[in-house]
Amino acid sequence: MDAKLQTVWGSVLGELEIVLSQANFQTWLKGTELAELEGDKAVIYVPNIFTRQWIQDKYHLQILDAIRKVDAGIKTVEYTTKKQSGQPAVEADNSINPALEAASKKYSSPAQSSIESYGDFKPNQKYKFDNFIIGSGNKLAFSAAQLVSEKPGEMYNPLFLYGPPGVGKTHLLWAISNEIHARQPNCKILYSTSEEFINTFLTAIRKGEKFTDKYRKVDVLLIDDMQFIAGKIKTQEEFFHTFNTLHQYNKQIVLCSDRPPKDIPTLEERLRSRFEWGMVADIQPPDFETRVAILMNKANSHSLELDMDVAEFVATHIDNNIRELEGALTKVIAHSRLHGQPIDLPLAQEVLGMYISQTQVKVNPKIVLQKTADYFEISYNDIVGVKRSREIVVPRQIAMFIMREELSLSFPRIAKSLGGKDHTTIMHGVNKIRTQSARDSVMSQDIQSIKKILVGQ
Amino acid sequence: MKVAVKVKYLLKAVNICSRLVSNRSSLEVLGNILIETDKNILKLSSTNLDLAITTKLGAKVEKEGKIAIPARLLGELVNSISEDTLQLIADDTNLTIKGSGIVSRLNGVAASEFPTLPKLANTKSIKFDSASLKNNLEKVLASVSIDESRPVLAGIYFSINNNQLVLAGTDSYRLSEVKSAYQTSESINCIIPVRTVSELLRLISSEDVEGIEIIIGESEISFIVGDSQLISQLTEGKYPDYKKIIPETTTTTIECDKDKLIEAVKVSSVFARESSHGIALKVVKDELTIDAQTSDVGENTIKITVKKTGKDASININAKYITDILSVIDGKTITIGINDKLDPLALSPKIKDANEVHIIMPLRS
Repeated sequence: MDAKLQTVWGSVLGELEIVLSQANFQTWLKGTELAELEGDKAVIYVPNIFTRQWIQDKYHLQILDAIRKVDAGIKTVEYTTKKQSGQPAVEADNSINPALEAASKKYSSPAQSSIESYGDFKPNQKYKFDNFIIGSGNKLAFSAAQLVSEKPGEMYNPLFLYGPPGVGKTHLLWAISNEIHARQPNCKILYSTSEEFINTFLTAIRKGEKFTDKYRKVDVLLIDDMQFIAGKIKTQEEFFHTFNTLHQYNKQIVLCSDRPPKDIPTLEERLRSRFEWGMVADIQPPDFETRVAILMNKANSHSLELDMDVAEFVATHIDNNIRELEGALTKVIAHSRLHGQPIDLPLAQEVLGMYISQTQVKVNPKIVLQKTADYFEISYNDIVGVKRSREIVVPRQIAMFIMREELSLSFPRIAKSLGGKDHTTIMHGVNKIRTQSARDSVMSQDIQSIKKILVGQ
Repeated sequence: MKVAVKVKYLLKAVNICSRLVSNRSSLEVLGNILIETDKNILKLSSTNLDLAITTKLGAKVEKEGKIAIPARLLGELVNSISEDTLQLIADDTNLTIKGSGIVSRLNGVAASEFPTLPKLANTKSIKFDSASLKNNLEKVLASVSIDESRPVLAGIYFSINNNQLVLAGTDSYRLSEVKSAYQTSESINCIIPVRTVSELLRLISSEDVEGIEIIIGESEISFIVGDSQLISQLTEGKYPDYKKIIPETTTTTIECDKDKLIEAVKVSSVFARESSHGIALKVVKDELTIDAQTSDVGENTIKITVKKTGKDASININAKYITDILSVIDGKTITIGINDKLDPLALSPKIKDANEVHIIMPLRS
């Protein structure tokens, strides 16, 4: 219903609400809409034939009167049970999320395949409360999440979790979904990233479809990476209504973001205040003991014994991101399997030497260029110069690549360090080395060696 | 209003109408039954705004009129009266019931408060044999979803095309389809809400008539069964294109005695206590083995002799789905068709030109 029709119908309903009893108004006029207002005719959508008959018989004159107060040109009012634009009152039935679908059925279990999803989706069983390591930084978020999964919609609604990347926000979201699903298989749970939400919304607009049903008919809505909604005004508005509908019916909402609501730029005030209604819990990067526990747990899940000194070594050197922490451990494990070496401190030091140094030692562009030049036995002036012979160009591009990959410098910054080249030249060079080093093992060896030299700094 | 009516007819009519009455409705008048005269018959109606039912009964009408009376009150009274004939006398809001030794006065509601029942527009009318329609509806009802959140699946697909009636029901884990010949020039495709169908089946049982008439309008449907008429909204929307899920051929075909299979599945169900009621079917040569186990209950193996054509096969399936279907399927011998472990399993009666097929999606583990 467009805005104008909505306003007209709003004022008509306003009038009728005064005249009719609450029960009558609720029974007969709830769910009606003004579908069309054209020339001297108004068409009113009513949810079913019983309502149509009753409104026609009883309220027709009152409705006509009220409409004519707004638009005097109206002579006839018609009633329909069919939604306009050929769109049935019920949303087209194919778009339903298989996860939600599976969760909503009485006899279903994760193992039951469904006709519609015939061979896909499985809920993400990797993330549970059991394998979430609790530390001082995430205690509050963890207990809030647990309470929410025990009594969805009752305790903290909405639950807003925030924290830097790789501290376990997504883990908690999935753990909540899994736990609720295990407790109440009939509960309709929808896990979505804000990106999916935005995309679904945009697709619905483009196709002229009704957007609301998918998100508004759930019992639990979990949205990850909420910060991406920043600046998307229409989506924010849609989300605002979705939020209100769900909240009104005590449906649980869980959101997470990399920053608290007040720090999300261009977030509408009314959304911000709503996000802060329930519980806002932050997750801090894990402390040392927690990091060690995470590593031990991870090793356990691979059925491995991890020496305390190895765990402590890894935990000391990677200190803020669990994803990186686990990545480092995986690397060590992979290395030990590959070479048949036991997992011990020397191995960890060897494997992670590179990795750790990168994150710790500050290497500036000049050093990269100098060392690269030394490695290829050319002069520093050549590498930053304008010569375009092959023996100079390749080292120069390798230096660009290393600066880009290892120092994460911007293209213009790299260009500047190379004596004011164009940044597109740098992009070209970096891409070239990236593709070539993937195929050319000599080149990739060279790059590794230069990196090692740099680490030795 | 002043009428004389036989208690046994009134009782039947009140019982039919009471089924739709809910006392939980926000609109008080919906807890009432509308009693009205129509020339020289008496009509009782009730509605819950999804469905409406009207039933006629013979009566001696002395003075026309109408009134709405609380259904519970009327039901309790009429069910306990042991009179033969009653006189109903009503003004706008009071009904007096007089028998040979009884006078009761019931407070009612003005008939004008009662919802007018919808009139059907642009209708098509078709007639059916009630016994066979009931039988067919019960078959597909076994698979229909009871979850109202997806209205399309909480309904029976009803279609008449090219002189064939097709009924289908699914909850997206299983599907039943029944076809039968039906001579008509009409073409009809609609979805009937499951509640309407259940009500229709009850009506068919209580009216005990041979034929029923179905009137289908644009967005509503009406069933005339004997003296009663049921009116319902049709479910809007498009029924899922389910045809592709019915396998045309199967690599394994098992023929087995229905009663033996029912017994075997029932026994296995005792041990299939997980939420998915999973049992494992395995057929090797002419022997079907059904395994079931639940860690804290125990396990069970049962074997029955069958006739198998094609490959040996195994599949995991929800026992409840099978029993649901075995309880409605025709025939003494049934055919089970299996392709891959993860492909749908098909059940049909082993009759020449079987007109029903039931599909069950397997369990993945």
